[in-house]
Amino acid sequence: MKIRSLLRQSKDKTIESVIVDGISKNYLLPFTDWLEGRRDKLYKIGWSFLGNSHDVEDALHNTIIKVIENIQQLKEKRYFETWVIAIYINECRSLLRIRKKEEIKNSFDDIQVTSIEGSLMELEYYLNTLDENNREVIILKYISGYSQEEIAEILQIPIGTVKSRIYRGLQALRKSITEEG
Amino acid sequence: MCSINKEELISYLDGSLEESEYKNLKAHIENCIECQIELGYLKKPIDLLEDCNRNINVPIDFVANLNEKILLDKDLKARISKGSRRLSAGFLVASLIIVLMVTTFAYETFDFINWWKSNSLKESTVIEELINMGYGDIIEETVVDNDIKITVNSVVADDLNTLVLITVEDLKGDKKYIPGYTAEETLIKGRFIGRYSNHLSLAKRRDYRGGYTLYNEEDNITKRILYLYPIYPEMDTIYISFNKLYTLDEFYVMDFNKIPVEGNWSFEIPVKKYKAETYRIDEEIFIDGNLVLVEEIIIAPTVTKLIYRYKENQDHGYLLENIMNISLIGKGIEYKGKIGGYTVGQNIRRVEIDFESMYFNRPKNLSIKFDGYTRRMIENASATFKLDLEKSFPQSFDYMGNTITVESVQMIDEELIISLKDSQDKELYQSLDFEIYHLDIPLLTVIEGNDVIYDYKSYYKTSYTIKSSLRDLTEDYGLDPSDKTTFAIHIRGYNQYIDAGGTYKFKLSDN
Repeated sequence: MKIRSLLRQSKDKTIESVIVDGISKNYLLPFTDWLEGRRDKLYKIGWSFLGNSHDVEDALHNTIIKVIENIQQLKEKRYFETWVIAIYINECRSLLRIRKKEEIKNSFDDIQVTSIEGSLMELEYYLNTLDENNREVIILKYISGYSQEEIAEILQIPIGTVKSRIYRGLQALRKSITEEG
Repeated sequence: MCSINKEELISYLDGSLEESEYKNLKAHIENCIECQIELGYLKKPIDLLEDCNRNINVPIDFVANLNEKILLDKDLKARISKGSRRLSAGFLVASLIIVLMVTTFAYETFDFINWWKSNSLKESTVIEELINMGYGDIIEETVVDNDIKITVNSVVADDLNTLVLITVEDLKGDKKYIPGYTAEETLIKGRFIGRYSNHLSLAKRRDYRGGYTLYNEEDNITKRILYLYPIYPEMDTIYISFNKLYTLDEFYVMDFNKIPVEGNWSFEIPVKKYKAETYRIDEEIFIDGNLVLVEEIIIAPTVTKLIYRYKENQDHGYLLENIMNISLIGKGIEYKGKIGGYTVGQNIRRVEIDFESMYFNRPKNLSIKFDGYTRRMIENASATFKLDLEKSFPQSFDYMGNTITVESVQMIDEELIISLKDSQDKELYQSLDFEIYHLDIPLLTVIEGNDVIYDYKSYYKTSYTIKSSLRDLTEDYGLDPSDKTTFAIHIRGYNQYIDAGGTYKFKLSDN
């Protein structure tokens, strides 16, 4: 894998350093490799927000552009991943808001809106019963497998808040599940 | 009663506790029924989430596709070195509602067919001219399916639009067909610039913005210009797949009463984008004491775009609505506004109006001319009239010296339909703005039948059909709308056209 060979060249550098330096110098290969390695995680986060692959691709594409344009703003290279995920979550949120407004507008015009893919209506349904705040942490924790600490870093909230939101989210989910029978 | 903070169980389950903490908590749980039950309760949703997680199918090429685009994208690399140029306006738009409005015509009488004929000639001539000048390409690719032949004739693209000219020919009959609007009916794939943000927002547009059917004499041939979003790279290939065609009725619009024709007509179209010239104006003009900021004029091969913005409420007791009949004058030629749209956020309306292209005839100075504006009076202009559905109709009330008569009220299929007349004795305003309430709950209301207004100055609306949805009442509030004594008509204000035209001249300088 390309990143490892670069690491050998740059001795004490961390993977994050290599990627960030690379982006600043127009060398995007380490970044693209890094993305490829997180493919599942990234897709699943996006999907849990947006429900279809077109939108997930759009959100990730916008994220990549923003990361590349704003790489100078990243203060500490070791926070690269959480920074990227934070941007990605914002893009997912924005796109979700836009889609929701489209639904409201289009309901007057009877124009069809992109539909949710196939069989995972269940997840979509249950996630939708959650509060926005709780839903985000649940997605980050159980769909993408981030730790409480990482989630705190991504969303820039205290770790205690992360724990509470997870707990409240799970309780709300449990309630929805049992009500459905 | 257990004193453990149940939130700690989350950490217990995900293994993020320190070893000693974990051991202690484990020991506690073994002896605490309460915690054991709570754990069981938490495990259920976690299992569900993990189960669903496993079932999410990640497309194999998901990241690979994006990576390829990034690595091959020269534009992107240029932006890293230059720093991105943001086309953002100077204010944050909090909410976006995009509405298309078609400009109205100020003619006394209006001959549609001849207007359409000459306009179609203009539109197709523009494309021909652009191609002749080297700003577009002839494609002439044909696909036949189901005895219908579709040809992609040509494409012209710039920073604002991608135009595709197509011909649809009915080989066996004498019907005119055009492709449907939705993504299922016309699938478009490519890298387009989205319309929702002021800075670059890439979107794979799956539908197209609109189309213009050109006038032509033959019964079995339709020529149409498809308006697509501008493409993102300088050069790219777009894929268009027509899957459903509708016949046109005698008014040359889609006939939904006839069954559409399904088929597959797919095309791969190479597109080259040409640069538009953007001129920042940033000058304030005053229209009857209202401040309007002219932002910029974009002169592109396919279109000229004027962008301006204003605060809707400038504390004059009314809301500023539309500026009417705008035209641009450059090098002695007057260009009438074709189509416009606006976005609204935080009381600020930002308007974009399209005009014919002046790309090959660029003036140094440009004048903006308009006839007047429309506004909605809100100060001292509201009134409420309670409807008594127990009593007979018509029921009347007075408003601003006019008599408003409610002729009938019907409740059909969760809809309230009100038929209303305005005597317009005083001719004070053009029309009224209504809201319908049940108790103090406003209903989702639509006023039917928008009139085509040829001359605002002498337009006085006298009849309304108001439709309100009762569904929210029953679903959200659990109310019984058959309780007939609690509906009210609320007039929010009246709409006026003010004849306050003007002409302003601007210098176009290179930025």
